[in-house]
Amino acid sequence: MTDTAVQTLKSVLDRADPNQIADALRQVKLGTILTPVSLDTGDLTGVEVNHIHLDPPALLVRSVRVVHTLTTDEPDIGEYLASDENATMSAASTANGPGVCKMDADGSKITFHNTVVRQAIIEYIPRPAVALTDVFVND
Amino acid sequence: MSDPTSTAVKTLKATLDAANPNELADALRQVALGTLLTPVVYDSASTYAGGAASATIALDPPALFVQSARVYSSGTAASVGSYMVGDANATVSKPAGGASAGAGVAKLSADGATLTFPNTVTRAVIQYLPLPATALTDAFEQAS
Repeated sequence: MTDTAVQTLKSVLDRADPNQIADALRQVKLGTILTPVSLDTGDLTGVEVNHIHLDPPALLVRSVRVVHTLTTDEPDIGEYLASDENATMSAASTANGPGVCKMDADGSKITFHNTVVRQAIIEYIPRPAVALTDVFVND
Repeated sequence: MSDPTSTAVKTLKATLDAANPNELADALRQVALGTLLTPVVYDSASTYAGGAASATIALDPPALFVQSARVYSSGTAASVGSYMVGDANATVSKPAGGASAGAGVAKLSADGATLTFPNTVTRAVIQYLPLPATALTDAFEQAS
C-alpha cells in the first residue's frame, strides 16, 4: 500500500519544506494577516443591531468600541473586551468600566449585550485566507 | 503620455500574499518573522530608571497587538491596575471601582508606537507582539 498521511496546511507550515512553503504561505496570505483591519460600521440609524459581522473573520481582536447607540447616552457607549462565544456580556459604563462582548468561535461575528448599537469600530487581525485545518493542496 | 515602461508599485504586503519563491525569502527577512512571533515584555522601569512620570509610553518596536497593559505605579493611586487597550480614539479611563478593582482603558496610537493612560504613570508593564520590521505598505525591494 502507498497510503500517506493527510497533510493539513498547518502541518505543512510547521514543517516548512522548501518545496511546499511558498505554496503554503500563498494560501495563508501572510501579508494580509499582518495588516490589521479597521472596520467602521458607519451610521446604522434605523437598523440598530446587537451583532457585527467580520469579513474577513478575525484571528485576534485588538479593540472594540461602540461609538453611537439608540439611546445616545451611557450605558453602552465605550470600549468592549472581546471574549469567547460563551461569555456573559455586559455594558460599558463610567461606573463599571469596559463592557464585554463575545466573538463567535470562527471569528466571524461580534455580539453585544443588546440591540442598540448604531455605530461600532472594530480593529482586528484577520485569519489566514485558508483554514489551517484544511487539507494542503500543492499549487 | 504615460511612461510605457512604468510598472505598478508592488508592496511588501502584496509580495507576501503572492509568495513567489524567488521573492519570498527577501520578503520574510524584511518582516523579521521570528521577531514578530516573539512577544515583547516592556517594563518602563528599565527605560525611565529615574521614575519619570508620563501618561504616554513609547513602544519600541511599535505594537501589532497588545496582550496586556498594567500600571505598576502612579502618582495617582487609583490608576494602578490592568488596562484593556482601545483604538486611537478611545476614551481612556482608570480602573473602575478603584485600583485593581476592575479594568481601565488605555489607547494605542494608530501606528502602534505609543500607549496612553488616563494619568501619568511611573511604571508600566506592557506585553505585546511587535509590528513587522518593515511597513507592509512599503514598496518591496528585492535584495541584490
